[in-house]
Amino acid sequence: MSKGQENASKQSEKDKNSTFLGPVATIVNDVDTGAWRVDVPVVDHASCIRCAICKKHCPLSIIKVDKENPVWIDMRFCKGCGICAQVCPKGCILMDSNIKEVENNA
Amino acid sequence: MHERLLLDGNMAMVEAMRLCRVGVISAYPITPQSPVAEKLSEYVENGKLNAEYIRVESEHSALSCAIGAQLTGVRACTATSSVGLALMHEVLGVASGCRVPVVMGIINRALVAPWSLWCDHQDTMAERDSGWIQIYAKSVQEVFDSMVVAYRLAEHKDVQSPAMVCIDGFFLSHTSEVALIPSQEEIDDFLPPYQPCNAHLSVDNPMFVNNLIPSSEFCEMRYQQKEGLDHVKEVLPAIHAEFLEKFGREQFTVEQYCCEGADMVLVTIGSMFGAAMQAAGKLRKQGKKVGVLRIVLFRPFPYEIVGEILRDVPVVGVLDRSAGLGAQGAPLFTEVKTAAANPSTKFVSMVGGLGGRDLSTATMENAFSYLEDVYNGKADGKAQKWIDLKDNYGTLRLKNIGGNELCIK
Repeated sequence: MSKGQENASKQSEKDKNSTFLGPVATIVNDVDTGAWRVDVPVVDHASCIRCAICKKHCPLSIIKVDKENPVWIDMRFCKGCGICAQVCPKGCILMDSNIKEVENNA
Repeated sequence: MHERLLLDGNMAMVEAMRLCRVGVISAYPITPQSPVAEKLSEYVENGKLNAEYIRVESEHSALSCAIGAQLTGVRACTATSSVGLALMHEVLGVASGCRVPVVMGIINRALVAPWSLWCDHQDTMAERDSGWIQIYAKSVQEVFDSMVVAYRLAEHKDVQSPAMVCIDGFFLSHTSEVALIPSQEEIDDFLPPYQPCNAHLSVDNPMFVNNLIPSSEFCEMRYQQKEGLDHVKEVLPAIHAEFLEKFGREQFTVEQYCCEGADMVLVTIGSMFGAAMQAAGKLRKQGKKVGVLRIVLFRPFPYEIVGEILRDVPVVGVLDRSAGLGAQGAPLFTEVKTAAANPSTKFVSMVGGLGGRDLSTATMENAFSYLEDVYNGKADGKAQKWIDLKDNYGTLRLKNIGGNELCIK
């Protein structure tokens, strides 16, 4: 069991004074699914046409696409499922299994 | 001021639910529970009960809806029987594990197969370790009283566990008796409006209920449930005392009849107590020292009290209305024997009244006469005794229908 999963839920600050019985949590913001990732999506920003098809298909809704900025993926949560790479019409997302460290500029 | 009404067990249960002001009903009809679902829907339709009635497509959904509704801060209710309860099995654990104090009426009916509509206790006995409180009623009046007590008990802040009130199908559910039904004011005085004091669903204060729990916390949460059920034994006597004071009727955890100084005690559960008492009364007049004990609260099992009552009784027979296949004895027997473990006591496991067979006073007298044989050393009482089994059980319906030659010797 990863630390990330254990921390998945806890009581929020405002509920600190009350205790709850059973599987109950009042804050869920630390589901560190990025820890499960094996393959890392790498985007070729030069060929990307910002069509946002990857954004629509991402099961976690963590891809941001707009006209001005390059495509951005929230690597805290990216599980590396590779769906974005499969649906990209330009084939400009590649899943790289050699990258170990990912900088998350969230 | 109470009303004297002629009610059957199902209607007594409905009156209790109405007077306890249930806010959401989600029930799926099943014999012999159907009149409960029907009467509640009638009350919602004619405005006698201000509640939301959800038409669900199965018992699994019925309890799921009740849990979700209760989490929003109302008393939710449902009732079921037999295979309906079996279909709820998964969701029973959700209610008890999430500490949602739903009170559910169970009309006891045999489990399949053979297919049956009639009373035995296998449906609820199969759910005895689900974390629910189980109360078994003996009369129509007690069905009503147990329901009211169950709401207080389940919702108590130290208990916070769901409760089943189990009533014998047809024997209680469809048999009319006079019952005293208190007024709405009296019930309101005894049972305050529902206040969720644990998990709740609220838009302003979102909460994640029943999330994935790792091994680092699971065991502790189970222990919380154990503590909740343990508290029942401290909380219940006070609720019973208050009930007696308000309504003038005594409620029991276990009920005794002539157990003091008895040589033989028959332990019973549910509506069979009446017939057992009748038989014991007759035998007492003949000078035989027999007694009857009735287990009312089956979960959590009141082992301290049972152990104390049966401590010096030489022969204890336990009559189960469920078979307990493959075990040393049926479910009630194993509980009682563990509670009253005394090397000099002889325990006899008895099974009877399955699939709706009547446990008459004659059957009870047979049970006592077998216990007497054990007491006098004429029988060892080690094997399970099926007290109303017919001798032709092995050749029942035996007929050569062509193709079954191998089965007929």
